[in-house]
Amino acid sequence: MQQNGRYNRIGATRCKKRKKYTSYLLVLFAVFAAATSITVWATKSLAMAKGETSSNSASESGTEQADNPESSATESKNDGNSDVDNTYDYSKPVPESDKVENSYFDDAVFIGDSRTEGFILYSGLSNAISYTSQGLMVDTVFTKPVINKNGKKISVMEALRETDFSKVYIMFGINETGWPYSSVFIEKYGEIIDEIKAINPDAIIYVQEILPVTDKVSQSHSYVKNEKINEFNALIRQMAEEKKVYYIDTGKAVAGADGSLPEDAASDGIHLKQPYCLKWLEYLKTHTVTNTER
Amino acid sequence: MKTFKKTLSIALSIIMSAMLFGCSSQEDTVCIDIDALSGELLEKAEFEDELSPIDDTMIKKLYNIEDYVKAKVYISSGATAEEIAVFEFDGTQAAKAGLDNAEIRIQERRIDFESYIPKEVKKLDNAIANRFGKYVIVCVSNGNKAEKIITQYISKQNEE
Repeated sequence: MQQNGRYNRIGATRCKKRKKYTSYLLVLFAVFAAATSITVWATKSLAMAKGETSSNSASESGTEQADNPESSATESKNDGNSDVDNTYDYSKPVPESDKVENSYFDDAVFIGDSRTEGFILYSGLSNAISYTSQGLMVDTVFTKPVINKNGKKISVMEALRETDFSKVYIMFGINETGWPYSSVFIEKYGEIIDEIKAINPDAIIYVQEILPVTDKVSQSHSYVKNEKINEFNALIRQMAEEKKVYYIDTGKAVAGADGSLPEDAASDGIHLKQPYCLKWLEYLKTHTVTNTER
Repeated sequence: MKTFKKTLSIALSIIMSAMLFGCSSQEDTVCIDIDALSGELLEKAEFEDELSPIDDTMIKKLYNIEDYVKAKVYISSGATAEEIAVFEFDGTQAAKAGLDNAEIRIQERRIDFESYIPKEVKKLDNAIANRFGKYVIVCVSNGNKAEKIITQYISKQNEE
């Protein structure tokens, strides 16, 4: 009986100690949980405050300059497109940047007509994907089956939907200079941008200005004229700003002092010979938008 | 009689085999210097455009041919359908498959140019796409000098 009593006392003491430790643990846990919640709330509030501030300053200034290409394409979630950078001035061409290697184009798709086709072949950019075809235009890019995929011919846009890519380079317009309405051209071009964004919202989209033709072609051709090309390029640049995609003034890579393509650049005054394709490549390699945040 | 027929059958089989072997041997003796022939075509055949060489990776993509031993391909800037392609394969079977791919390319180019630059279709219709032993030669040019150039080249090789 005494032993039982002793055991009862020992048990009771142990029980009390257990209860004491348990309460200490509960208190510690409560403190920890509270601290975590406060930290999370504070971080969220700070992030929201930063987002509001950058949105306000972009709308106030209208054209905030971005000199450093490294900061040109950071993430922003303000308009639903996670890759729109509200600090980048989309109204201006991509500024000169550090030269990248050919490997930069490993995950790039080039979309265009015969000029881009020639560029890919002559520049040796075999690592890039080329969805190009002679005579391809801003409307037929959706409809004309020109890309061979798995033994079947499909349109460029259909092919793009089945492709992994991070960058797109687009150049259209030379074949459309004969269209009666510029508005139709730019509207269709805009649809291409919208579709690419729908396929891959994270892709860097470069729209290249239409390269000029030689003065001889401009003077003699029935519709391919440098004045028309300049008019189209102004529309493309405006569209790039509106759609917040990157405009490259590729023409500067090959144009002469008068803005025309030099006579020795192309046998027919339109399609670039290899040396000029290499100049084109060099320009693209020194005009990129990098985003280390990706 | 039976023995005679049997002997005659065997003799005829041997003779026919020898003839086949002789033909294939003759074909296989054609030896083409890829660089030399493509250079001659570039220099002497008629082209409206300035053709430039492309590297192996592009050749493989363009012609969908992976198994050639050596190749030299010159292409146009895009202004024309003109092209020169000379391939060496490791055997006639591979060369036959290579020729099929070359012909497919010509057909596809024909479709492309029909709506793009219709006047180039004539060059594609008159394109040379031939196999000589383990070699395949493609030439899309303006005019008909390419055939003479190739014939003269191969004749000269056979004389040596």
